[in-house]
Order: sequence, then C-alpha cells, then structure tokens
Amino acid sequence: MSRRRPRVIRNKGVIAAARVQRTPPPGARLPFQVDPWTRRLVRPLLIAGVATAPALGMLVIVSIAQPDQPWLTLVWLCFFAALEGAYTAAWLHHPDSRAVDRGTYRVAEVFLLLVLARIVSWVVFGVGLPSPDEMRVFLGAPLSFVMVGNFLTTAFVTLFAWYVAVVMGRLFAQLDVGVEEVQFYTLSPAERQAQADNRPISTPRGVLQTQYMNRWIGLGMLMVFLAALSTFEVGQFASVANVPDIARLGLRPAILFALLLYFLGGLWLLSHARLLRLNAQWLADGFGKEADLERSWQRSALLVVLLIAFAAAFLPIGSTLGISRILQLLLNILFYIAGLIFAAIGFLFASFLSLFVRNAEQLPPVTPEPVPTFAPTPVPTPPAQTNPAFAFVFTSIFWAILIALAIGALLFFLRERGYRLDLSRVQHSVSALGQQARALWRRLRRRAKALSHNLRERLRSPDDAAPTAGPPPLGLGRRRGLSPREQVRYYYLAAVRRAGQSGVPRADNATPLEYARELKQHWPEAESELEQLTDAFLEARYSPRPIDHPMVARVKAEWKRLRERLRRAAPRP
Amino acid sequence: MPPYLWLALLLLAIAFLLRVDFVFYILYVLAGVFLWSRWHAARALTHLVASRAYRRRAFLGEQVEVTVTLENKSRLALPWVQFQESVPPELRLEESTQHVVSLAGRGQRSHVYHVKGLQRGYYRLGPLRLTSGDLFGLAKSRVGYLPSDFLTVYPRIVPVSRLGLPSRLPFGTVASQQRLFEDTARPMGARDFRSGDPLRQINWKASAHTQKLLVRTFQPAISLETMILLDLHASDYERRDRLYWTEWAIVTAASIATHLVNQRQAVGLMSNGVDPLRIQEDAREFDEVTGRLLFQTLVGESARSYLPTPIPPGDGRSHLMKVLEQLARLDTRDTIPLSEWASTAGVRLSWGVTILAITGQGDEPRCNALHRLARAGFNPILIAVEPDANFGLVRERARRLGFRAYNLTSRADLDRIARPEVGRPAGATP
Repeated sequence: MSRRRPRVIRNKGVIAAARVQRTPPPGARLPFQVDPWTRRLVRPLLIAGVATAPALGMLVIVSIAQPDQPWLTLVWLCFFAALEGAYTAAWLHHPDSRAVDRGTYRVAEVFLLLVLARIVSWVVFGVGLPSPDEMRVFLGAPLSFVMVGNFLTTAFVTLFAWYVAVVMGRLFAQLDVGVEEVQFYTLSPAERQAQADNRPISTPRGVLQTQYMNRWIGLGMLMVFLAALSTFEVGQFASVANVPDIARLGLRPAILFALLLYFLGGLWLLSHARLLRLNAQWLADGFGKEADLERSWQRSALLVVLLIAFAAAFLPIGSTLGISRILQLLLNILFYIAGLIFAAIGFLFASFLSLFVRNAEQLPPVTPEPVPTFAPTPVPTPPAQTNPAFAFVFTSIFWAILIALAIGALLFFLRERGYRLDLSRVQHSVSALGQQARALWRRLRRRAKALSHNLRERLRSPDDAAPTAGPPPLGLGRRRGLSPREQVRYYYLAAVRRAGQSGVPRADNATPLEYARELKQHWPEAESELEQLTDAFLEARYSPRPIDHPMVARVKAEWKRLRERLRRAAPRP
Repeated sequence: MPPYLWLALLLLAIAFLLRVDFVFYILYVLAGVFLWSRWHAARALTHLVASRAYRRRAFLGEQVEVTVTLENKSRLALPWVQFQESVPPELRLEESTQHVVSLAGRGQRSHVYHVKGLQRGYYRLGPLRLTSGDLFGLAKSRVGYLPSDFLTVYPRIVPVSRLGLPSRLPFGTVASQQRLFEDTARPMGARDFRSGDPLRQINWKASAHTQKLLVRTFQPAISLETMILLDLHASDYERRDRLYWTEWAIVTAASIATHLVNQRQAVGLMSNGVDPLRIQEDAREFDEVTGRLLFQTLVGESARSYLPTPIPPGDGRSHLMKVLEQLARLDTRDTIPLSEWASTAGVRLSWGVTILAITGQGDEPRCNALHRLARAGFNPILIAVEPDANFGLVRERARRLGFRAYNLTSRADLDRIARPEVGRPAGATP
C-alpha cells in the first residue's frame, strides 16, 4: 500500500509576486479624529430628550383629563425608554452587530419595555406591587393584567418616546461616518488605490438630513397642537358647541418645558446633522480633522441656540405684537370672504332646488308614517359557566408563556449585547453569598445568646423578683404585621404589663373588668382610657365582629395616653 | 422653498388658528437662528486673515517648511474653517495639506507641511482655498482664497574641482594676482610708495598725515569680471539627449557662478534660452503634476521675445541668488544660435571681460563667433558639454583662434557626484 504525500500548494511565484506588488507599504494615515464623548454621551442624551418632549406633551394632556393621577412621573420612564432606544439604534448600526436579528431584537426590546411599563404603572398608580388577592385575580383572568387604562396609556406614551428615539437614533447613526469609511479614507493614496474594491458605498446623507428635518417639523406640529390643546378648559368640551368659545388657560410649565426642550434640542440636533454631513464630506475629500473641532462645534451651536432663545424671551409675544393683529385681521377678512362665497353658493343651490318644489303647498298633506316602536332589547343571557379545569389550564399556559417570553426576551436582549450568563460564576457567587450569610447568622446568634444571658443575669436581681405579665415589647414593623384584633390585644396586655411594673399587678383570677376597677382606684385620672381600653380588649377577645383599622388607631391612642400617665405616676428610682 | 421656511410658516398659521402665543417665541428663535446663520456665514471669512510663511528659495533636494497661519480677527468664534492648500503632488511630501479647524475669537491656528524640490524650477504654492459656513446648514458656504506664492528651486551646484576644470583655468588672471587693469574709479586702500609708482597715485592727504609717502590702490576691476554665456538654443544640442545636456549646461553654469562668487569675483549671466517669468502674469501656466512654471508661447509671438534679461557682472551672495534664480527658470527653445548671438552679447560688456561660453559642441561657427569676441578685446573660453570624440581638433582650432576650449562631458564625474533622490534631470534618457 503506497502512502502518497499530501500535495502542498505553496504561495510563491507569480501569484505571490503579484500580491506583494499589489500591497504598497503602509503610508502615513490621514489624521481624522472624531469625538467619542459626542457620540457616546451628548447625542444619545439629546435624542432622548427630544424624543421625550412629545411624550411629555401627551402626559400633560392626560394629566389634565385625570388630574388626580401622577401622570407626569412617567416622564422618567419615557426618557429611559428613549435613551435605551437611542443607544440601541447606534449599537445595531455598528458593524459588529450586523449578525444580530434586528426584528427579533426589537420585539424583545418592546416586550421588555412593556413589562417595565406595567411594573412602573403599578408603582405609580397603585399602592405598590399587587397584593396576593390581586395576583389571584390576575391568575384567573389574564386579560385583566393588561387591560388597564393606566397601563395602556403608560405603554403607549413610553413606546412612542422609544419609537421616536429609535427613528432619530437610526438617522444619526447613518449620518455618522462609519468605521469602514474611516478605515478606508484615512489610508495613504497608494493603499487606497490598491484597495479600491473595498471602497465603502456612499450614503446619501443629504437625504438623511432632509428626513430628519421633515420628521422634526412633523413632530413640531404635533407639539404645537398638544400645547394648544393643553390650554383649553377640557371640562367645557361637552357643554360648549363652538370650540373657539371654550375658555383658555395659560401654558402649563410642563408643556412649556417640553416645547423648549423639543425645539431648542431639535435645533442643536440639526447642527449635529450638519456636522455629520460635513464630516463625511471632509473624510471623503481627504481633509484632516482633530477631535476638538467637534467639541467646539457643540459648544458653539449650544451657545448660539441658548443666546438666541434668551434674546427672544424679551421680544413681544402674540397678541401684543401689532403685526399679529394685522395678520389676524387679514385672516378674519379671508374667512369672511370665504363665508360669503359659501353663502352665495348655498343660496344659488337653494334657489335651484326651489324650482322643483314651487307648488309644494298645494299637494295633499303627507300623512306622517307611524314611528316604529322599538322592541325591547333582549336581556343578554349570561355566558355559560366555563369549565374551571379548562380555565385553570388556559391561564396556566398563558402565564407560563408570558413568563417564558419575558425571561427569553431579557436573556436575548442581554446576550446580544455581550452579557452572557455564566452559570459557574453564578454558582460560585451564590455559594460565596451563602457562606457569608451563614457566617453572619452565626455571629448574630452568638451575640443574641450573649445578650440574653446578660439580660437573664440582670433580671435575677432581688428588686425584680415578681415577673410581670404581658407581652414582650414588639418593634414597630412587627406590630404592624399583626392583624387588627391582635393589635388591640397587644395594646391591652402592654398596658397590663406597664401597670404591673408600676405596682398594681393583675391577679391571676381577676377578670379584665375587675382589674380595671382596681386600676381606676389607683389612677382615677385615667378612668376613661382604662374603660375604653378594657372595652376594646373585651370586644377583640370575645366578640366575633371584625375589628377595623380606625378602632385600632383609637385603641393605640388610648394606650399611649395611659402609658404616659403610668410613666408619670411611676415611682422614680 | 426650504423646509425650514415651511416650518416657520406652518407655525405661524398654527399660532393664529390655535391662538397659542408661545408659538411666537418659537418662531422668534427659529427666525433668529436663520438670520444668525445667514449673517455669520457672510462675515465669517471677512475677518479671517491667512498667511503663508516659508523660505522662497531652496536648493535641489532641500526640504522647505511651509507654515499656513489662519487668524480670526473677529471676537466671534469660527466653528469651522476648511482650508485646502494646492500643492503639486510631486512637490509635497506625504503630508496632508487640507484640514478643517475651528478658530476661537481672536484665535490663531497654524498648519505646517513640507515640500521638497526635486527639480530646478519656479514652482507655485497655493492658492489656499478657505471655506466656512454656518452651524445649521441654513446658509451657503462661503469661499475665499489666499493667492499663490512661489518657490524657486535652484539648479544643482557641483564643486568646480569635481567638474574636471584645471585649477588655474579659465581664471588664470585670478591666480596670478596681476593688477594690470586697475580701475581708478574704485579706490581700495593705500600702501607705501615704491620706486616707479606714478606721482598721480600718491595720496597726499594720507602722506601728510602719516609723514610718509603713500599711494592709492585700486580694485582690479576688469580682469576679474566674468560673464557666463549660456547657450540654450535648442538646435545647438543633439536632439537625442537634448534635455539631459541642456540641464547639465545649466548645472555647469550654476556651479561656475557659485565658485566665482565664493572667490569674491564678479560674475554675470546671459542666455539665449527663454525665461517663463517674462510671460504676463495672467497667462502663466503651471504644470498640474509637478507644479513647475511652464513656458508656452502665445500665438503669433516668437520665443525670442522671452529671452531673459542679462545680469551684468556683480559679486556677493545676493547677486549670486539672482543668477541662480534665473538659472532655475531658464528653458530651452529655438531662439538665436550662439554663433549669431555671441557677437551681440558682448556689446555692453567692458573691455577685457572673461566670457565663458557654455554650449553643446565647439563647431566652427561657434569658434568663429568666440574668435570675434577675442578680437574685440574679451577673454573668451569655450566649454562644450556634449561628448565629442574629436574634441582635440576643437581645442586646436580654439588655440589657433586665440581662446581656450574645454570639453566638460563628465557623465562619469556626474555619476560620482553625490546627488539627491533624482539621478538625472527629468526627461533625460540614459
């Protein structure tokens, strides 16, 4: 059996020589620098701010309609979602993220934002996280989890801010010079000529800048409309027929802030877009650039916008300006002329129709048709009772899928960003935390033993020979954890203990009423407190009626007053 | 209509329809930004002063540092200024000559790049194109220019001893220190009286002051002056290697001129080539690749109209610079053959001047022309730069006609000379 040597093709000869010839020696690169702070910090924050402004406008409108709810608190959620959208848009545009399935990633992003919006709406509009009873309702009726007006509004506003930020972020990511462009155009001319096949495809940045402008203008219209809407007295919408007759209010500070943020921030972003477009042009034309140009550009643009905004604040506004009155007069004249034309057309049309109905009065009177009587609407039959087993299976499947989707979306979101769950590291961290917790527990236990030992030693002193009845003192947190009935019993027993310490211990065979009489003899000034406390105790101990929180509060107040009296009456050591 | 104006009009309409007074404020801001952009873009370059600093002359192969300075005279900052210096590719090194900078109010920025002259000539640096505009793209960018400046790259200068010339020739009178032709108009000093000194040269005032007889001394004005006649008539050179040998003739002329000035002698230059600088300024053309000033005759004009202005003999470094600058610019064309031009060249020269004729070959007409100069009282010397196997005949003919002849064809010598990157003048064939 012959063993043939594998054939090795060496890279030499003509091909290698041609390759060597094609690769020129590396020359000096074009000094073209970009400012990382602008890309990583300033621009995402700016995009998020501009995207949050319309959402803030919507929240102001909603808060006018529902003034008792803290809608404006949601602006932080909107800002967070917009910031996340801006950063994600820039990240997805990076060449390293080309392998990411964008559609799936966006779906996961939206899903996580919805979950976040649900949690925030719980916190903002409720009393915190849902109680077990509410959880049981959610488990039984999954749609009630999402079909809540507050949550739907929160989700809509949050996703709106996120969407605007994503659209703007994508535009600016495309406007910015890419890594490949910087890599190619900063090569020396000889190298660039040798790598002519790698020339990046040029991006139509002029079109992108126009797109940004159009979207900014479009959203600006929405902002102005929201601002106008916020000035109407919403309560009069139902009663006033003519919209201009509705009473007008001034602009609210929140909508004022949103308008300023949107238009001033948008102007600043406009200068960003201009810079990015010029950047690409400079790079392609071989202009060197230092990073400080972008920083000074940002400073200058911000300064110009702020100075002009400051100066504009001193100019007359709206109706105080003469020209506006003139323009309004012209508009009214236009409307009047349009109304005249409309009336003339109507008159002509009516005259034309009158030709056909000239002798209408001579016709026999038309007997009106009887008004049809409406049949009573049938009472809807109650839906058939669903099978509880089927409902249980259905809701279980629903919640299992929802939780799995949430976890899957979170893992996918983090994994694509480069955060991977390392199980061994997690186990190691958990075991380390467990060891620390066990050590802490041991230390606390030793300390508690030592304290209890000391306490026992103190209690063995001859002065405190007679132990007093009553509950041990409880902390505020544990006391609140008791039910109302137990709290009443606690306050009574605490009063008994305090009275025992003050020299009137309760005999084992004394009933609460007997003991109350004995106490009244010693502290006649606390008669009413003693009576009320004893009555409350008897009701809590022997009555089946529910004990409510206001009663607990009253008992607590009585107990406090009694405690103060006993404390003042107690002999000082 | 630009979208920005659409926005303004729409906002105005909404402001009136919805009666939102605050929209007027937004309108003011938008209008303010628009007007500021227009105003600032229009005046951005009016307060910008640009300058270019560099040495105007350079030797062959020497690097010249060019500093472009932009100064903002305004108090307002210029957020971006794009400058683009036009430098021919063959002249500049691998440095970028186009940058974008920002200038603070009353600020100044400088950019340095280097050029290297690889061939003698008259080069153009610039113009510097300046572009600036607004920050928002609401106004058109404005363009300004800094006019071009020029750089002269001297021809290569070779030590004369390496050219193969005898040490005492052709300047024998220099080494002998004979003062036969002293110029009484240029007194040089005084010395003790010797027997035989003419009485007219006694300096009576100085003699009375020192109580001994002193006589005036004068500069030897005539015998030490040299005029270089550089023949750049194209037909006087063989067609095949014409570019190479004419360049060699120029190198020879520059080297001899430098040597003479170093010897504190006066030297002048005359040539029958053409000087492109004599073309009218608006008609000058520079080569796009090399940046060198090109010679192109206008329609209907003869190349004879562009003969360089003769430089009379003079000494000193500044005079040498003048000679070298002209040598840097000269170009070869069919103008006047040396045999016809030599006789007219000596019209304005003083009697006894050494005339150094540098040409291609020493044929009979050229030798006869030099003979006429010898008979006119000059001291002609022929330097032929093209190789000639029978140059002994030329030398013998020159000797009979009363002047000396040298054949300076030292390609081999030239190869031994340490040269910059380029081995031979452009266009020369091996």
